[in-house]
Amino acid sequence: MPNTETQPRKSALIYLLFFACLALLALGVFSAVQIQLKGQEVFGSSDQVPWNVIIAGYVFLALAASGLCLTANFFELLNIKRFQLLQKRAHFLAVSFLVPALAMLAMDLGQFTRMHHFILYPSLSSPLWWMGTVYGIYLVLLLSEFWAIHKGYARMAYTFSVITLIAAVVATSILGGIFSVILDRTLWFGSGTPVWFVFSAVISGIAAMIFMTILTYSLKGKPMGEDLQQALRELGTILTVLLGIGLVFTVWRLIASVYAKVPDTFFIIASPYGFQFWVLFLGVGILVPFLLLLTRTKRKSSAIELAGLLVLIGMYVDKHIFVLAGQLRQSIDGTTAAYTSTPAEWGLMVGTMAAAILLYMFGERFLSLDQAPRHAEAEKPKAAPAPTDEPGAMVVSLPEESVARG
Amino acid sequence: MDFSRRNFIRLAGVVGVSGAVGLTPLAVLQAGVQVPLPAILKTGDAPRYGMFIDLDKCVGCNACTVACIRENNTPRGIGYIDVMAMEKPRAAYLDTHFQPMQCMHCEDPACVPVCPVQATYKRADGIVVQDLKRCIGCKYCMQACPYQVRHFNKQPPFSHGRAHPAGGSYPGGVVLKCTFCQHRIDAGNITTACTEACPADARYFGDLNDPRSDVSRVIFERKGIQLLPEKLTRPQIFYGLPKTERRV
Repeated sequence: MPNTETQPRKSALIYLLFFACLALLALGVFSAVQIQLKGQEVFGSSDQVPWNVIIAGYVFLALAASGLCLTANFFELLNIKRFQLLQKRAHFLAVSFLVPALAMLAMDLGQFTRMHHFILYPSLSSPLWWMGTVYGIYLVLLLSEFWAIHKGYARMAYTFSVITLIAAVVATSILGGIFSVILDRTLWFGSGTPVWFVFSAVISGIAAMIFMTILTYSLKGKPMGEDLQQALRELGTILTVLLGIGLVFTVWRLIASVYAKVPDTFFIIASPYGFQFWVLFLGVGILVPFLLLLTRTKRKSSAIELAGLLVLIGMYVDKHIFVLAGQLRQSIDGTTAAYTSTPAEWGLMVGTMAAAILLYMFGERFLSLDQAPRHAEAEKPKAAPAPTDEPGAMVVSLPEESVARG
Repeated sequence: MDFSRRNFIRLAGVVGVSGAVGLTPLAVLQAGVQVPLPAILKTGDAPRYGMFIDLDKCVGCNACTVACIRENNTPRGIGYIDVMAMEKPRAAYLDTHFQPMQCMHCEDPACVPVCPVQATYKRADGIVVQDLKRCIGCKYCMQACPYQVRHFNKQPPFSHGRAHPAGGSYPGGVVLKCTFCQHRIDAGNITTACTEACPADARYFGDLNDPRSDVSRVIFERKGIQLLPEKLTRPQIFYGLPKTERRV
């Protein structure tokens, strides 16, 4: 049972987070309205650098969403019981990330009211069309799978998990394909980009799963079952291995680019993105969590949680550098363009993140995300816990513990 | 020397044929008839429009830029032509020339296949056009174009901008580009505003499938080159390189 003295403090913290997210969401809505009223004059993008920081944010969120679903479904197919404890939360997190991310992408379009043109005038040769279409289908599958898990239809959930797993891999690689087919952008072009996107989706997904699960339990002051703790520790170990592979991949990609004197590479390792790359991505995003997980995973869940957060920061910085540095060199005259992000862009980004957190809080509050699918089917679906006055104060039911013990 | 009848006839035949072969071109040129050029640019029988820009003649006056903006009534801050000053440092001086840049109307355009809603496409006459009513403003075509000659109209999406020469108005939030004065060609006037306005006669516009057209002739004579051939887009704007270096 949670400590009765710390419980009010935890509730206050949840209230604070809730209202902070509401304020940031309002900022996001304000930015979106500003974009529609003033046009893209409020953006820092230009004819030389057409895609801005919003695209980087979208790529990060979409990859994290795919990674969450991809990892959870993979464990489901392997039939590892411990990881099934995370399945429902992972799926709802994926929905919470993807829906605001798609809305943010729509705000970045010049004419978002013409999105139905994707259906009216499809262009099968365009990776962007495939991305839009596959992510649309993927979202429907994701919602269907979540519904099946929520209702406790284990067999249906299993079938959906196979289909959604395939859809997640396809959607993620097509997102990479958007960049990889542009011959003129040397940093983006090539078959390595979609592969790296799938790989970094898995890293982001596992990091988000670890961070959000531990954060949720600690904010609610709820003890984790032994099985869940074991699952998180094992996820930490998997993340360590993936970070090691990611480090090797990044270093070799850099070495190859420097040897070939790819001009855009120098934007990454020197100016203007040198600090972000060496410190925020390679240091904070990969090396520190790698060492943290190597040395302290055995005991402290807070170390794993911190590692998850740092990896998420690193993965965003990676997409930020990738999207923006890839556009700076102008091939026609060899000059370097400049890009500076604007308050409207960051307002929309922050609002989207806040919307994702609010959506997740809603799910945590009303949809009992601790529920494991097999358990639910065995006991018949339970009614959602009755809402209380506090947004974050959950009815403490720990079905995962009963699954673990059973 | 044996002046037998047989030898005389043989000698006369050789001299006669040689004279006829040698003098025919001269006779043709004297009569004012032009020899057709080899059809190196020809890809079919239907018209295929293209342009030649002579960098030796271009003085960088931007008359083409202004004429284009006036003709197309483009939204504020947008011009389809960008006259770039190309500078090449030498040991003791700066070699400089001007290079007007606009949509190359490529034979194999990189922008067309990437558009998710078929808003940009290539017409039968070779002009790459942008459907402003279909464009969703994703800017993917701007990423794909290696010449960076596409422009985004940053005006609000629900605003009604300036009048478009082909009718209607420019919507905000869409990508714009040079149309080779499509509205003029559709009306039967086969020239562009920039070609008309150039005071140095540096621009030639016409049918590349017609070996007798001025544009085909000047591309052949001036050994016109295409920009960034390694991008495999086959631009339909050819450039004549400066013959001499200009010292600055």
